[in-house]
Amino acid sequence: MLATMLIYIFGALAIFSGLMMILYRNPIHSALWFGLVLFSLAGIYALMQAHFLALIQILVYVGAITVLIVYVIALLNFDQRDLVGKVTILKGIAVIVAAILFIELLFYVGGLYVKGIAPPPEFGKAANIGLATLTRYLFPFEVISILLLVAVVGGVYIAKKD
Amino acid sequence: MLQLFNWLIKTFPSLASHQELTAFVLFIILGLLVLTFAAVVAGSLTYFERKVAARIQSRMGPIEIGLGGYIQWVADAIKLLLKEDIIPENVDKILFRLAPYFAFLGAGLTYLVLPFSEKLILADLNVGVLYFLAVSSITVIGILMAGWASYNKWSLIGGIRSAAQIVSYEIPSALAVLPVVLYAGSLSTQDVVRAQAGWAGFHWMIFQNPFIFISFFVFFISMLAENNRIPFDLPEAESELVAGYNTEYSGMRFAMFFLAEYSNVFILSAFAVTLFLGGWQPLFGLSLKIPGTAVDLWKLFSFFFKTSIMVFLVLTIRWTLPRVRIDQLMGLCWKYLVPIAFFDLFGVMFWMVL
Repeated sequence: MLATMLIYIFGALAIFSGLMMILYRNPIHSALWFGLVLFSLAGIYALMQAHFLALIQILVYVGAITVLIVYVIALLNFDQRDLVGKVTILKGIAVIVAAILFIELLFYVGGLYVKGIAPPPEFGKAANIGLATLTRYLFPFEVISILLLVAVVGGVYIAKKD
Repeated sequence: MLQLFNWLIKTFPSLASHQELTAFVLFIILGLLVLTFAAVVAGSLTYFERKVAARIQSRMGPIEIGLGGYIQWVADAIKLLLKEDIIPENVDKILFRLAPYFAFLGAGLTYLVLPFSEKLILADLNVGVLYFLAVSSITVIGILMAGWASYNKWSLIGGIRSAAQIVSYEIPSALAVLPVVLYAGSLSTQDVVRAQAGWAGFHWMIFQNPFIFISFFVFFISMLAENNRIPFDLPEAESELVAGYNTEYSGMRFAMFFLAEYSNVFILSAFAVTLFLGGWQPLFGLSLKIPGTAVDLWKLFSFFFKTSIMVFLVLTIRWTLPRVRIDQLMGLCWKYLVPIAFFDLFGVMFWMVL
């Protein structure tokens, strides 16, 4: 009962702060609302017994990604008046892509919800995740690490460009 | 926590029909207890710090109020409570008000997985060590919020420095914890401590393996940096930034930052003890003949004794070393600590395989 209630609270918080993230005009506020979205997602993961995933979510996304986003915005120091208005083609594409993604997720998650899948008893244990990444999902895991390496090299290249 | 809950249900059968409510009330009571404990520890540490500082500088420190000046921190707290809470005109009012609580959240939540003794732990999570690393990273959001919301160049620079510093030093501190986790074979803080059982501390993690011995220093240095302690306290470098991110704060909100800082000193020492120095494993093993219940007390004492020594070390470092420069700080992290931590990790892996 308590767990169900908390899942609803975290879910409502995630949706609310997601809306706030879009609706706020001040970029720093948006970034902090974004942090709250990620935090409430971590809460939902934790309530679904995926403790490891929840903590990684907090460590990486709340503790590092949000901080770096806020960091960059605080350093940019742009004029708030530049942020309003103007419909551009890029924004239109972004809206379409987001809508497609949303519909996909709706169908996928909705399908799971109808089927009513219960997690296996050993679900979300750190040991299982480690085993899965090093056996069955080894190839995707390595590919992702190469992707990250590419991003790091790109970052260094841009920083060194002068 | 779970044991306490089960015990309550067993002793008071009338509670069994309201299990959810009992759990909820228990959460709140324990939460308040933890906050009280955190406040008392942080307050006592301010007294301790002033005494240590005074002795290092050949002064007396606080001596007027209470026994040896001990009540001084209560007087300070009351003073801060009664002071006017000034909120400057141009600040971002919401963020300015919220920031101190976020800064404290990171410190306050870590008490949840801190094993004070074999039985005294709030929640023995199976991912406790990771929880500690994750939750302590929330503090930086509070500091960055405070720095940005203050509408003040010094504060902003302080907040930005802090963010860069903490995000960087999280990497070596997490990497330095990994060898311990590998050796203990579990992410639970209690299991880590249990893996260090033995006579007179020769089975403490730090002495089990030469690589972990190096890891301890990497962990300690990066935790010092993560908590903005001197010699790494650039976010509030008085000689350059007035007081850094908390320049504009006064009254109780300033006290919250203070509370967070001193809680972090305790947490840093307590986790260094838990992960590397045997946690609550009783000093002198069990060669001392103590009757049943006193063993638990002895474990509790061992934990606090070792933690106090670590705290003393942290404070001594603060009052004896000068502050580093920002490029030295970043260089230390990325050029030395991260490679050393990786080297340690591989070293421990090979050691365990061979």
